[in-house]
Amino acid sequence: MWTKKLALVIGYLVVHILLSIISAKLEVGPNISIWHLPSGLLFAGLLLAHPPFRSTVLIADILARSIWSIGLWLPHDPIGFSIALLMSPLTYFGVTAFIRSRVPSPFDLSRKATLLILGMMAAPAIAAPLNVVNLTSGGFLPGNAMGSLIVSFWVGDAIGVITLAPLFMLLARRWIAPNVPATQGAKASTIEAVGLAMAGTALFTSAGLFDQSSAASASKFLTLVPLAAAAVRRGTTGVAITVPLLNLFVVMFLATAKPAIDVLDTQLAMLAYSSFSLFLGSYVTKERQHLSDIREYANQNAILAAAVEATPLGVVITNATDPLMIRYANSSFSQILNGCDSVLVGKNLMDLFTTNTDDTNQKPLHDLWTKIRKCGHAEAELVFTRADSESRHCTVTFASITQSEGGRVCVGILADVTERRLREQAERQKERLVSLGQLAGGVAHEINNLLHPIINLAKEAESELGSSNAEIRELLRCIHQSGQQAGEIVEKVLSFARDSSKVPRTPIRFDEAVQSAVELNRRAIPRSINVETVLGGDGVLALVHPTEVAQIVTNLIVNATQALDGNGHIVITLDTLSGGEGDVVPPGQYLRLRIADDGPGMDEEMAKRIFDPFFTTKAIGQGTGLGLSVVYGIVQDWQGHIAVQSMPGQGTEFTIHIPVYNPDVES
Amino acid sequence: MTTVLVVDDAPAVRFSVSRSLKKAGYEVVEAENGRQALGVLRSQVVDLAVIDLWMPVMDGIELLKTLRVEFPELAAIAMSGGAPKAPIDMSAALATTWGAERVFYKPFDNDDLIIETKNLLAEPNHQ
Repeated sequence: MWTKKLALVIGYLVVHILLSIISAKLEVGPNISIWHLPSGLLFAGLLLAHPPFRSTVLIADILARSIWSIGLWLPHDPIGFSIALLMSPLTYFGVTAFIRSRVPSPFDLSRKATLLILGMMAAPAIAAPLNVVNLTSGGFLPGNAMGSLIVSFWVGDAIGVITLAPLFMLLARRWIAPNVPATQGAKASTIEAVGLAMAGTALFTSAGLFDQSSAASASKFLTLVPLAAAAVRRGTTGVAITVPLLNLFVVMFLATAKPAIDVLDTQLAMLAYSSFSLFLGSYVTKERQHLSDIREYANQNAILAAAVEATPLGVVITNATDPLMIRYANSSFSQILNGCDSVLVGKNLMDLFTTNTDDTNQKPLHDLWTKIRKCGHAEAELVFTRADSESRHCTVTFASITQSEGGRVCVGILADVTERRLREQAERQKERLVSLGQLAGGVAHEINNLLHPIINLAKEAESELGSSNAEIRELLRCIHQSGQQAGEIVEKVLSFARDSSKVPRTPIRFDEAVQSAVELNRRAIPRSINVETVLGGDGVLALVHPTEVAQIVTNLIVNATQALDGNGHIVITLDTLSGGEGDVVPPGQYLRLRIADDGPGMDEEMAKRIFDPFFTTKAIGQGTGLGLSVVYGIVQDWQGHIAVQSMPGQGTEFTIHIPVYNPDVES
Repeated sequence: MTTVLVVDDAPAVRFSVSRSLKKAGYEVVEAENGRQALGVLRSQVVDLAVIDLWMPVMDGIELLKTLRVEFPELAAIAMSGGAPKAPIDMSAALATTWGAERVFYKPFDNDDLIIETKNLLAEPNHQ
């Protein structure tokens, strides 16, 4: 630390003395040096230095001043001299301390230049008279020269500060204040600055040479032009370099050419022009920074906006109050809701949700709105019915956000979970059936072990009774038959649990298999029921067993017959189609078998459970409820798909998709 | 006197099958599981074994495997009620692989079993 401070002091002394020598050489007026360049160094040093170094700078400055003037004044007026020596630096110390306390980053010229310039102007104004008052006893001209002395000291100090402080700040920041951000384009600025300064000098000198009588007025005004140009083109950096250069050239001109103009006037003019261009430069730099920030912000926003627009999730932004007017909705939102890209801005979200959803959503919707009103965020799962009458399951999440300007908006995320729900449903169904199959297998085994003695012993007893005891024989026969029927049921259950991939299958003509299955059943169907068959898919092959086809067709026809209860129509159709994306079957070629009746139909609850084993709508003893579950199992084994469509009062239709046999693919 | 061994863990099944066999004129011995059956086979001469496939302690398939080694001359008929986990086909295939002449699926008619027994015992290498 001490070595750094020592280095700072030595460096400061060197620069200070150099600047003082230059100032002395540039004496152009009757007063002592009027461009007090070292003041700029002091000001910059006090503003830039880290707190531990500030006192070091102050001490170094006082040392430098005393070295310079100790021989001159000390003998005449020691006390006055001391006061005069200390006044300037201490005033600057106070002023810069004030500036540092008000301005978080005084080194950031582009932001608080006004305060900085005011400080620059004020400090010498306070310091100078105090210097002068005590020096008058040292032999300076009394009386009306006093005023001009005060002014010239003040102006000299101010010029020094304004000319050099910004430059020192630019140059010195790296080793005194590394936190200060770098300015850009310093090299280019320097070259421009030199050029502009020379241009300014040329303007000044030409004005001075050609119009000496009014040289104090309008013509000098032209020197403002290059300064302003530097400010506008390069901002703070350009000004910081141009101002000292221009001032230097003007002084050199005055020193060499010695034109007949009022030096003080010139000084004041240069002071004014320099301050103004400094202010302009910092303003320009600030504006450029703002623009660059805005551009970057806009870029980031554009990226975010594109991401929001592209996401498959629906995103909607609405007002935070009822009825939630839509401000923005991405295309996915209207796709999920309406199945097409529609303009939703300006519409009310509550109305939109209510019209698009069916009655089952009433309660969830109501809860959703209540929660949003109460705490601003909510979640719900709703079912939307699109214009094309397709139903989509969606999760909706809402959160309210407070904007930076103080308003509130609601952001909603809509996710289409239809496919996921369907898959979950299919998984659950499959699991249920697998575990039921396992259970059935175990139960069947136990029951078979018990049925065996029932059937055989009843049969033996019946035969051992002989021709007598017809009544008891009747009882035994009943036991025997019941046992056999029980055995058949168990067999059916086991066939459901059996791994039927061992059933030998060859590619057969599906339409023929269906045809023969239908004919097999025709005799069993009462004449009052009309059976119509439309069998397409001529010659199309499928990898199935004819008895499986017969089983399925029989089961479905029997179901239809029982549902019709003696009167109605059964329609059996077979055709082919291609499965595509989003269909119930993966892409490929399929046979489609449909068996429909115009019976009483069933409601959604029943339709959901129709393929469950042991589920039956018939009275006890009338049916096992196994038929459709066997059908389901066979279709699954075929890698096909079965679905039922039914509405109360509108009949029932079973649709089965069977993959067409592809000889190139062996499954 | 031709002796038939009936192996099954269900007592009612044993009772029913044994009764039919006795009526057909065979001497019948019983066992509850594979281990008991081996004990019986090692202590007396048996001409044919009727074996249930799914039993505790030692099941029918294990017993058949042992019989192939220890009693290769012994004829065996398998009975199946449908195993709790394995599909019927698989246990039937296994049984015939390990030497069962045929598999009967319960509840079968005992008369059919008697016919099969007679056929097997009439064959030359089982006399």
